[in-house]
Amino acid sequence: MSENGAGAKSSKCDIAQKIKVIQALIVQNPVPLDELRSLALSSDGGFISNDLRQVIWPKLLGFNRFELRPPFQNYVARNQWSDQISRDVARSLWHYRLPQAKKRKRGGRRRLLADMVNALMAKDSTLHYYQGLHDVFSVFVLVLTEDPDLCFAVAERVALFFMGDFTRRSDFSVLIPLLDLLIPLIEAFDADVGSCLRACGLHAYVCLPWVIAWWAHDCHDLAMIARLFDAFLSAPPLFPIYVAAALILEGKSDLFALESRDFSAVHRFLSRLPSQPDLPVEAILARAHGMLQAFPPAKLVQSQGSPFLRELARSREVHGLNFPPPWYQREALPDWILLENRRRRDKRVVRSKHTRERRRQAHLAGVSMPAPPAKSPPEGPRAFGDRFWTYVSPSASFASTLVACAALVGCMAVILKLSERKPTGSTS
Amino acid sequence: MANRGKQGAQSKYDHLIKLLLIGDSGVGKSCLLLRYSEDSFTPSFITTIGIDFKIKSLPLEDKKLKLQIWDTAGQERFRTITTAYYRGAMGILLVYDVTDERSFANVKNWMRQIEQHASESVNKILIGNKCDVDPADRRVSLEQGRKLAEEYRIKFFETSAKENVNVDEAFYTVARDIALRIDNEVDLTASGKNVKIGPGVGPAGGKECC
Repeated sequence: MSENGAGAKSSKCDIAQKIKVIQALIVQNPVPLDELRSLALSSDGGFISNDLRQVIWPKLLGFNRFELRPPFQNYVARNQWSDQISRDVARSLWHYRLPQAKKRKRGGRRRLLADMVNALMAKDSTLHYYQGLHDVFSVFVLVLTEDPDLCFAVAERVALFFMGDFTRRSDFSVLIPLLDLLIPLIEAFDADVGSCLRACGLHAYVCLPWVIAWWAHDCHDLAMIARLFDAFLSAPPLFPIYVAAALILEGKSDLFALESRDFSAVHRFLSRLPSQPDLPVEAILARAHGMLQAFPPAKLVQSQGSPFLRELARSREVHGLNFPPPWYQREALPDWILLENRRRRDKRVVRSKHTRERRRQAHLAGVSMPAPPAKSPPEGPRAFGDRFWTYVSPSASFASTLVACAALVGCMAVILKLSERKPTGSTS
Repeated sequence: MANRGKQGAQSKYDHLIKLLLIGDSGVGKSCLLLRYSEDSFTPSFITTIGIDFKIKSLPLEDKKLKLQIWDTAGQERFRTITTAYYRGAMGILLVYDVTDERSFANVKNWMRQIEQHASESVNKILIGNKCDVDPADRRVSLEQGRKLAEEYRIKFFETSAKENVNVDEAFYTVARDIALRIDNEVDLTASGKNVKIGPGVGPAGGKECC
């Protein structure tokens, strides 16, 4: 398989060029999410860097990364899964090949990981934790290092939507018939490999961790896993099954070169495929994407699914088929607009403090002012004070400034007059 | 003859013996398997998701055994998947952690799983792992383990994958018992006829055995 491994080893120049392309896309207004998705599914390297992932992943998942409230730590609480989670987290974050500096931070990362999984399970007590979900979350902990709340928000959406068939059920009753689609899917594209797998009695359980943990459990190269996550987040939830099929098909020549093609030899060979350092990940994704387009999930379930799975699909109980979800967007606002909106809103809050102060002063002076809007929307009517400052600001016309100043002078005159009358009143 | 004399270039063996490791999550099933198959131990272990196996060759008197040892996920919700492998297992190693009372209490649930899903003739063995721990951290005594094993009439070992205590002995005992059982079954059957011993590997009996 090594000859296909070149995809991951693009030259520096190529990578710089790709980064430029992605950067140009994410500052566009609106950001063309469909274009980013197809880039993740077909182009070498996916979103390349974790900095870009920090920007793109939340957009693909339909939320604004600058508006994450309340902090996820508010939800952290002991729950029915806590013991299992702590056992799994204690055995996590070992297997990635990381620089020494990152390894030193393992303790803190494990605490964050445990908090994230516990927060999710405590937030929604109907969810069911499974071993492997913590591996998926660990990738978010290692990739989205800047903001734990963003990390949680991404992980939560993945757990609820992409892993919905596993987290929303107490068992794997949907996973098993979904895995059973693997061999028919392979057969549809390569009858030789399909019949080899059937002949040895292989069960698709071999790819179970690939599907429920998105390869985070089996692959040791974090950059490669992040690249795969770019694709998984850009595709329908059943895409990991297509990637599993594509991986096996990419390994065809090695599979047929096996000395013995009995069950144990084939199972052993396949189960070790994802941990190969020179995995041709780009070729696998391109193949999987082609398979997805030629044989989409709904069609695959309908034609190859078990009667039980087809029945579930008819009653829309297979989460993996409920695509696109309500939050799915084809376009999103770029970060510079999201930030500007936030800045404008924050500024307005500051300005309204000024307004309140002026209002207080005016109230003391006995001048009536219009009531402020109960809850000011982003572009709502401005209070009197705000309007006044727009009249006298340098950008306002001379005439409007004159009128405003005249009004102010009038007000001052009234105030002075009142203050002059008060002492006389009190003496008499 | 089934399971006998496989003439592959590398894999000449007299018996293929399929073992299954079960028990609660975190009791050290994967560590035991790593210690036995590769004679190593690492504290940096990851969880087992679903099911995996390792191969170990074991000479037994004049015979060569090939052990195919399946390691399973301990979390309860994987049971629908792991129990599919019980049927093909010839021996089951039921592991608990001597520092974890709950894993010991759950032995009876695991025994029930074996009764429901494994073949009647399956050889069972009870293993209390992590016996190297400080006595202050121990929650299940040697005597308790022994008593429970006697109750179920199965063999019992206290092991330490970390310190390599009794690991080889536990696997050797169960493999030897199975090999003896297979030989007896073969002897009992009409001589010269092909005998299919045990279902195949994998869920609900695969097709490995030739």
